[in-house]
Amino acid sequence: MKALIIEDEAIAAGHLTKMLLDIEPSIEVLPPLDSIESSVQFLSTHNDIDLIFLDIELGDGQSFDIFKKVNVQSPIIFTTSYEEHALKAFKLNSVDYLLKPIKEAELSAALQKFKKLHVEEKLKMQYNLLQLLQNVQNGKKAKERYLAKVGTRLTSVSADQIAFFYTRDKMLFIKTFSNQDFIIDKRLEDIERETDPTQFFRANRQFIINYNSVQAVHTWFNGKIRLEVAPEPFEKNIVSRQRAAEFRKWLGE
Amino acid sequence: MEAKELKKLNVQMQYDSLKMQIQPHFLFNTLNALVGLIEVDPKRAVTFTKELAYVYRYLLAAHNSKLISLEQEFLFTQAYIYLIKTRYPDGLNIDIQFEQDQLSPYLVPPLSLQMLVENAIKHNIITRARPLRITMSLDEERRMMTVSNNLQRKEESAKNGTGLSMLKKKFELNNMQG
Repeated sequence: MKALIIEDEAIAAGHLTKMLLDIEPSIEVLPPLDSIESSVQFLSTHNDIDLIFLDIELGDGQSFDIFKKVNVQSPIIFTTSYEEHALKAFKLNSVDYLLKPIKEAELSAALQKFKKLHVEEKLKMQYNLLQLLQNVQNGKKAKERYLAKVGTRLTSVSADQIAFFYTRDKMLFIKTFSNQDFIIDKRLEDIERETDPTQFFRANRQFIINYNSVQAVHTWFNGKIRLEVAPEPFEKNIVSRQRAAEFRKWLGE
Repeated sequence: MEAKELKKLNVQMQYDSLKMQIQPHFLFNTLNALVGLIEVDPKRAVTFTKELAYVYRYLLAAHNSKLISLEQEFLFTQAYIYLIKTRYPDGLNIDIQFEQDQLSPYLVPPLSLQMLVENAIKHNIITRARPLRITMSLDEERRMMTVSNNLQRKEESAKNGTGLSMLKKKFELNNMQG
């Protein structure tokens, strides 16, 4: 978190910096600015400030003038030596209003308030954005065809013909519903990402199965699940305990 | 009538100067600087506290006298300047162009010299990039003290405009030249 102190008295700025770091050592406190002029200049080229501590009376005027000259989005904690202009301060994006000399407990409370108002909101927004992004990605059209090899011949296999993907001897194969095996030049992880997640499921380290290949599901020991798929694979298809719940969900439980 | 007016004016000026000097702004900013100073420079914090006490003692005593020696007023003004200068080490330069002992023959209303300095500080820009220079000089022939500064007015600085006119009136009522 990046914090900026705008304060015309160097000693006061130094003291506030120390208090902030005592309370929250992870804060990055930028070198303080002492005037409207320097603040306008700085803020017009820096928009990544998370929190501003702003003294009201500065050596070249009242700090409210900063906002007339530059658009500031960062939340603000006002610091002043005397109760005045409080109303004006609250009209801006202010978090709190602290009286100097600032008490530790009040600074701490203001920081908590800031976190509640802004950091959590920001995290929530980022999370929502991530979800949105994932939804968009999930909505991305699944791969419909795969280029497969039989000997030296190349062929294209459409996804709905594929009963399952499996690895054997460190190679990746396709088993079609017509019981043909093809080698494809990919990794199982790529397939997992590319296929339609409602149609295909990563059952374990060797198999990604098509929903339509599942013939029967048996509970196995230790909470595992044994699958009966068709065409029959070269080895038993077991869903691990860890994946079992997700598998049930995928089947539509 | 004149005596009555002078008394009333005295009370008003005392009140204003108290408000101006003990003005919460000055007091709390000074206390805030003191808190910071205790941390970074305890030795200077001790001096600072003593100068602060001196300033306030003078302010309270100023009620009692119509006139005070310019030397006393100057010592007080210096203490006041010390406090301000500690708060703005890079924003303020004070140039004093006389010796203290040159001041002994003169009498002035208390707080008059300090008020001129304070006015300059209050209404002008004081920043690292644009320091304020205040010059204090004495013209012994004309019995005149001058406080001047480089003019760099603060925008919209709070002016009640009573300070200077009040001081002028006070000089007039004492039959002095302001």
